[in-house]
Amino acid sequence: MKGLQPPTATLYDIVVRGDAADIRLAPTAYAAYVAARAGTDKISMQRKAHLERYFREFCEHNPHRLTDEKFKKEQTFATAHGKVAVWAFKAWQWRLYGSILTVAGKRTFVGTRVDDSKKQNKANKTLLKLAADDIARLIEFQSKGK
Amino acid sequence: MSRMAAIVDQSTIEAEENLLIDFQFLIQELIMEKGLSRTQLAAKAGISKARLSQLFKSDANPTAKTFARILHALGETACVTTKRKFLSSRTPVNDPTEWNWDFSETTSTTAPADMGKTAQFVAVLRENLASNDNYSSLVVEWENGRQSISLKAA
Repeated sequence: MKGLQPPTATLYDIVVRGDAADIRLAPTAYAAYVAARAGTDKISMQRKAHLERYFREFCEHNPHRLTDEKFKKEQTFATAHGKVAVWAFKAWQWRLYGSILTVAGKRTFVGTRVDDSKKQNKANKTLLKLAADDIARLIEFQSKGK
Repeated sequence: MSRMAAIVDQSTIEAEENLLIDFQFLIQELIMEKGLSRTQLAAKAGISKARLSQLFKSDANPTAKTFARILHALGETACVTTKRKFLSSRTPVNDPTEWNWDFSETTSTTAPADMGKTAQFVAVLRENLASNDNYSSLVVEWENGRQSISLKAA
């Protein structure tokens, strides 16, 4: 019996493409990112400027200049397919959770969850776990884990 | 009392935030280059580690004096200019004799692993020469442990 096919990140939108890496977002994360960029209040505009620079830095250079305040390995989760390290881009209490995978042969940050609640300065543990589960389901992670 | 409404648009905010990020990236680069920890840098700058960490956050708003203080603690001095002035101040290299380098044809060799500062120097030169059509490549020669840099005519 043929089961459900695991999702693949190659179908996710590429939001930034660079020489060193790409950034792809799952549909819900992409929608949240677009919404965050569309804000016209001051903090939204500030956040937009920061995220664009952080993404570009990740994609064009090795992310050595992205300190923990900007891009941080939040937690590693054990899943059925192996360990998943969940990273977060963050700016102005807005967080994008995901992992660094090889997608279509290229180093890629795959973002799957966004925390835009702006209620806390710490990572949301529930969303971190959900992001780890999202990543574990991706065919790119499974093939990497074997 | 009248109050002037703050008029901010996206380009103004981008200008502010990009300068902040440039500052943060520069400080991080220097910290890595000099092999300092944040604790060491904070002590040298006479500020708390928490205050130093705060300067790397997206909502940081360091004063020019704080910027100067941290650069000073890193053994550096700020050079303030604008992009327009910086670009216009770069000397165009039309006359090869302006450069006291060897312009003879040369071939590159594999550089030793610890090229360090020379590699950085080359990177800066490459950038400066990128817009110059007269020279297509920059060659670093390594001979008997001595390094020399030559320009190869296109």
